[in-house]
Amino acid sequence: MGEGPGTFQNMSYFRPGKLRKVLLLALGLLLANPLLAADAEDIADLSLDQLMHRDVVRASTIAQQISDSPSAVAIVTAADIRAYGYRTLADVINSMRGLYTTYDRRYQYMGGRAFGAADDYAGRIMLLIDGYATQDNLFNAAYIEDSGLVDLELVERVEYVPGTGSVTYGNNALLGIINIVTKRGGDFNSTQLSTEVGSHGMRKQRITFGKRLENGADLLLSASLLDVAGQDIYFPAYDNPATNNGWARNIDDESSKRVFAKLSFEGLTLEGAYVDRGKTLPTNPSNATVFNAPFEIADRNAFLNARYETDLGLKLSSASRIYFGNYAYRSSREFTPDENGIYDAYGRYGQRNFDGSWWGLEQKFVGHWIADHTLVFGFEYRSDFSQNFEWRYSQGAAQNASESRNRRTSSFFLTDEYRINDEWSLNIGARYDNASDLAANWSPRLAAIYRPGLTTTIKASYSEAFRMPHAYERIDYVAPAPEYVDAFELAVQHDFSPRTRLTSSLYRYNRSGQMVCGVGAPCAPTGSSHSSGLEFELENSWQSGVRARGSVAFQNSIGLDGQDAINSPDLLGKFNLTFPILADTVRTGFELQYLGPRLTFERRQVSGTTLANLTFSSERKWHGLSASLSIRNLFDNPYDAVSPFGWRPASGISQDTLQMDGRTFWLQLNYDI
Amino acid sequence: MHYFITLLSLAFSLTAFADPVAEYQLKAGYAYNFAVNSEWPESGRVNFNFCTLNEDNVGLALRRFEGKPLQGRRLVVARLTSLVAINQCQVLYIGAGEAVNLSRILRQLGDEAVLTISDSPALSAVCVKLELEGERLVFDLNLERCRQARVKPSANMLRLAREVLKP
Repeated sequence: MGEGPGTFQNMSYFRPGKLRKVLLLALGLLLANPLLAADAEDIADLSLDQLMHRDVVRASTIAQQISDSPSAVAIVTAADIRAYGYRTLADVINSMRGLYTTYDRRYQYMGGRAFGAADDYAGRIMLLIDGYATQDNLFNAAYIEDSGLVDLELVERVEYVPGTGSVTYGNNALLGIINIVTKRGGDFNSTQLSTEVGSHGMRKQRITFGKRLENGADLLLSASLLDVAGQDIYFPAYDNPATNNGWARNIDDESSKRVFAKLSFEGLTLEGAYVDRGKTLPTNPSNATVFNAPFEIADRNAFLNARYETDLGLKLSSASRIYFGNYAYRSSREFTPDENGIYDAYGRYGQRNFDGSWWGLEQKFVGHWIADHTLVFGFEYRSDFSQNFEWRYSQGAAQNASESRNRRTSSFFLTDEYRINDEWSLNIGARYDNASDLAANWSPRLAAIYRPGLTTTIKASYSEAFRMPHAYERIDYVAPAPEYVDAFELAVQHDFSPRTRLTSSLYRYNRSGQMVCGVGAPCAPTGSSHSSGLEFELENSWQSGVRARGSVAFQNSIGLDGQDAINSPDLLGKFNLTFPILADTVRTGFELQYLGPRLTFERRQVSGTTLANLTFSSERKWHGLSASLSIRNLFDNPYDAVSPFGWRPASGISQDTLQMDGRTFWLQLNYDI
Repeated sequence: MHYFITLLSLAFSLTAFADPVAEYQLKAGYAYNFAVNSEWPESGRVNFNFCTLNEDNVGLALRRFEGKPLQGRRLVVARLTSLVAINQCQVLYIGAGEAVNLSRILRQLGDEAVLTISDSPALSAVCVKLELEGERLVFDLNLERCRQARVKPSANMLRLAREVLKP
């Protein structure tokens, strides 16, 4: 502690150059394996007797994509979550090809292709839980840390679909979709009690009940409580006697409560989730507030979703959905007085109470009337009937303010998947969204898919997507306007063997209609930016229970000002390896994540950083007991994250980076009754 | 660091073992052999239509069998997505998603000479049912269903089947 930001690179365990070599070497080794393997003899020449003596590699050995999307999907399964000790969705995202998160000790912000601003509330990404879009209707934010809606123990898989999804999902599926599929009660088939302890006074308890009934009904119920005491943190930019010499003490606590319920019977699924997370911020997120004074935020998210799927005859199937969602944000803060200790007209304290509610329904049909065509069509109606903002100040009612908005959106969509022949198919679609406060918008997509055999798939796509200004922007901007992106992607997937898969992707995104705020002029949607990149991922699974995955992503993002985008590394590398030890009783999960150099708001370069995580988990249950131990940031590398705080405090020292945690521990014990 | 590289290299060289076969390829191999090992009533057709119904992965794996002689005819693979043409098939490999349509499929087939195959537990009313058992792929025969379709599995198939359900 004590060094200024940017000096830690000298202390880091790995130098970026060295790490890049390691990652490339690891990838090379991965790649070498399938090429060395002898070509299997033609099974077409084997008799039934011979075939029956062959071992089979199950199709599920390497997870298959379930999202219907012509892009290079990244998948993390429940087995990965356990093997690598992922605790939050942010951990999952950090393990995926080309993705990273940035933490400001308030929220986790997601970064990847063409996005990654340190204060963008994961907001240009759509986060779906079993088909329900979870973003709130005030900031369009998706929550990926402890304010996320589900405990990861309930998650069967997470798919990240890069690129646009407006053709299917409309508003806000601008730059990517995270698709979470939850487990079924039958996957637990017990009552599970779980307790966790971790660094910085972290405690968590969870109880989960799951059962599949005789009549086929499936029930999953779960609740959890998290409490983190937090740590005292030193911030160099506040290192003067007036601000406690830079130390923020006793203001890093966090708590969260979660409830999840899912009932499915035949085609009907009822699902609901609730999370309420409170966090005190050790960082000082505003230049008007006091450092080392409690700045408390609370985010509450909840939803109910009912879905019914049925076949209406041979050639038509139907999926109907009705949903309700609610989000509430509360915060309290203490303002800084002037040099004479006098507070301005707002007084010493401020509070924000924001609340949003919405409901909607969707009807989707899948038709097979025409030979070789699969038609998907339907409509969605969504009412953001309540979007309320309230600001309260200690100095009295005169300064208090409130704002309300609402929006109704009607949408229609149609997609045709046309199988031209055995090898070629086309996917053509468009979605029309008409919101009550905006002009209507079309989001088209055209994709060609070439599958010359079982082992190779090549997909090329062009698509356009958009994002409506969210409620807060509608209040903030004089002329709120939608933002657009057009995207091209070429994705290749090839299975060298049933156990080895290569995925690669080449893309270019052009964004437009981005808000540009000049000095002395109102913000205007005149900005544009672009991004292109190339990604490779290699995955291998051995019969012995060893699994490995490695990826590199090269990207080049140009921001609104025509220069390299802020907090957008040119290179990302991931390497994951898991294998059983101690006579297959314990599974080891090791991962390396490399985040290349990236720029801060002050256009300083933060050096590349490498993180290693190590997890041991029990491979089987022992009298209903299972356990998992994770060490994150194994080599205790005190790395810097780009911070969203663009101003300099009184010291004049920059706070454009924030030092992240060193080594931390996490232990989980589960008991199945 | 060097330890780490060495460990990695070791991990990735642990690959020398017998080649197992991918699930879909093995299923396609089985399906082809079921056709080789069964008897159909006489027919004047030139092609032997080997169909998959909403089972693209097996359908794609079957392509390497295309053009092979089968029952004295030329094997043609057809990947179907609807029931319209299923009566033209000699083998129909039914995908798991068709469970809800099974009774309609069987009704439409009637006594057409179609060998029905599936790997879905929900589709047990087919002539040959495939199932993964540990590292092996096994199959059960439903002779009543085969008899209705006038397709006769060979003695070899009866011998190799895990279970034979007799009429």
